[in-house]
Amino acid sequence: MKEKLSPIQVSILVYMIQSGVILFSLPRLTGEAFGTNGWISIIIVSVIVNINLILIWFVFKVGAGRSMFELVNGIPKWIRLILSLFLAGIWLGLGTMVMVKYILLLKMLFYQNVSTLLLMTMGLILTYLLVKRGIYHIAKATVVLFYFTVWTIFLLLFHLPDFSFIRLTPFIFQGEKDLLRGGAGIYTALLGYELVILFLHNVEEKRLKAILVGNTITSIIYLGVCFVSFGFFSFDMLLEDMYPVVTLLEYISFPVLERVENLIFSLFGLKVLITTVMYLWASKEVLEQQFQRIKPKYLLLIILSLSFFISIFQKIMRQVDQWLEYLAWIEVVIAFLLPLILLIVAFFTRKVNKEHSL
Amino acid sequence: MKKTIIVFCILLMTTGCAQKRIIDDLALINAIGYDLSEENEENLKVTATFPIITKDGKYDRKTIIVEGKSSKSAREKLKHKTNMQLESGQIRVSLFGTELAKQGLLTQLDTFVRDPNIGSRVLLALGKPVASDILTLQIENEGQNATFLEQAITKLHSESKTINYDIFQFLRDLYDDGMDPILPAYKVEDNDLKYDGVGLFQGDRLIDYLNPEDSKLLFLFRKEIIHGDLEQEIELEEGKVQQIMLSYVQTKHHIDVNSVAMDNLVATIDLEIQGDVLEFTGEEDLSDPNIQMKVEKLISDQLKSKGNKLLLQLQKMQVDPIGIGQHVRNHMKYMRWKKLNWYEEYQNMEINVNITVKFSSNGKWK
Repeated sequence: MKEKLSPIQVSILVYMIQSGVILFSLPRLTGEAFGTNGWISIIIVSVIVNINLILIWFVFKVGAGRSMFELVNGIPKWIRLILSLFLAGIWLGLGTMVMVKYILLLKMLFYQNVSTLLLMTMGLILTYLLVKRGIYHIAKATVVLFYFTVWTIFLLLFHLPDFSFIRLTPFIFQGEKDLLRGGAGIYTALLGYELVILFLHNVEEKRLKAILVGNTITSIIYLGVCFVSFGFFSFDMLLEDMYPVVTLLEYISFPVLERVENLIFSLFGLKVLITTVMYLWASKEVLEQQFQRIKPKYLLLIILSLSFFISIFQKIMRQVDQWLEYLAWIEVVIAFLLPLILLIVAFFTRKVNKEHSL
Repeated sequence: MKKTIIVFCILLMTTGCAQKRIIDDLALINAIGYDLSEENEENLKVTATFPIITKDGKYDRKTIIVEGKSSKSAREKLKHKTNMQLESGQIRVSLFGTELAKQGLLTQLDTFVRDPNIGSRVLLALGKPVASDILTLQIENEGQNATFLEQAITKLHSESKTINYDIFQFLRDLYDDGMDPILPAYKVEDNDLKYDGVGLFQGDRLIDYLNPEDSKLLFLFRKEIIHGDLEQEIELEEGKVQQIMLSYVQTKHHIDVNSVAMDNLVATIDLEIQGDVLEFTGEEDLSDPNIQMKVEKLISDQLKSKGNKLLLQLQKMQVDPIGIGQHVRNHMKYMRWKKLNWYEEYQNMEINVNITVKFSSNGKWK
């Protein structure tokens, strides 16, 4: 944990935590939430995320570069314990559910007869290997996985012959809308950025720029996918398709290779893996601060066992979706509240420190 | 790095989790046809054809016909009629009989979009009068009917830019509120398969067929033929019918919508094609610019009158395969479009066609 993260690593890490399973249904979600030309909403949501990121950065500016755990030392111990358990629980749940959702999709699309638990075990083994070595090694692995997956965005070029501006229609945000719930749904697609609060103090330089660039990469990729979808599908068809991005992948055909979605979808698993890894890592970090007597390795094993235990009961897609929705909402609140609380604490301690030094 | 290799290996190994399928034991359906049952109106008649290897090692095919309440329930019955494991992941072509298509295709297409095994590039076509005729036809030395159909439809694809013949394109136009889909139609003639124009749809219901000649004009209006051949009969002098053939490139395609008054919509289709003359049976000197211009005008006028006739026919049938609706929709405010009874408006609106034909050369001969 001595090594510091470089800004590029942080940008990539932020992108890889953010992008996950929601991408597959994102074009439909934007359409359902904002109506026609819903892809524009990604820009709005992205701006809000940027504001949130600035808020998180501000915490460290005020806290003079101290980590979140150093900052919360000022809070009474019992509050800290409750807060930590709560955060660890939510992050553990989110990390697990994201992977379960991906596995259920994988099962539906390709491996109908394979047990969820087998796939989950594989995922958790990988997670263990990555989380064990700490954030620096996770970041290094993430950069490699990023290059494995990021080229897939260029597959969108295959859809240009079928893209038509006429289908985009000049109507902006018309038709049936579900702004609040649907909007929150789109916001959750960008979630994951809030975890920077745990490692921002560990970044070498250009902290703000690094995290904003990370979110911008995600937003641009989401925007590209949604924009192409709105001109590729007709609007009503987009609303009917559960996973428009899977259909997009399905439609690609090379001269000797068809149905490449089999391959690409597995590659997406790498992004999902990083999302899970980071949430479980976050969960471990928080618990580690509270239970310093337990060896970190055992703590990690406990977390992974819990995660596996949760996944045993998740076999139905709509239940998982429901869980993901609830957890994501709580996470949105955490993303805003946690930096705010820390900001107040940081202000307070700074004031106290100043008085002391006087 | 070691970790990344492990990560990659485990991901690769997950592919081994898939169910084992031995290719010799599989019946890979490559074409499937749907018709209304002749005995029971509520039932479907499903025809499936798949390649097999015969005992003496020859490549052959097997065609099975069953009846069932839905596509998947018919598939259950298909299972009982073969000793092999049925797989629908290799379906290339799906055919629909005329009567079934007239009732609507959406319920039948559901199985294609819901089942993740089936891709969105499955080609769709209509069978005249029934799909099973086409799939059961045994053409000598031609091999698989499915392959023939696949190649024939793909050929139609390659002759144009995009034509709505695969499942994705069909559904896209079906769900577009300003456009109706079309599908190519095939029939059996003299023990051979023959392309026989396109079927016009209103929503998912087949309304009528268009003959191959009119279909060509329709594709021109849909901006789907970027380059093609045009055959025309002209009369430079009265009583003397001459043939002329052009190989052309579409240089302009524009659909414009104007509303003169609130409820008076006018659409104009502007087309320009430039072509080289490949054949001319007349005796006139085609290298003469004056004659060229005269012939150009003659062809343009003929195409225009044909186009007008076709459009009136489409308007009368209340089908909009050209997508005039998309342009009308994009021309007005959202609320007005939603309140508009589009098909009624379409039937009564004025649609003008301007076609300009230009010769880029008269070929190698005077």
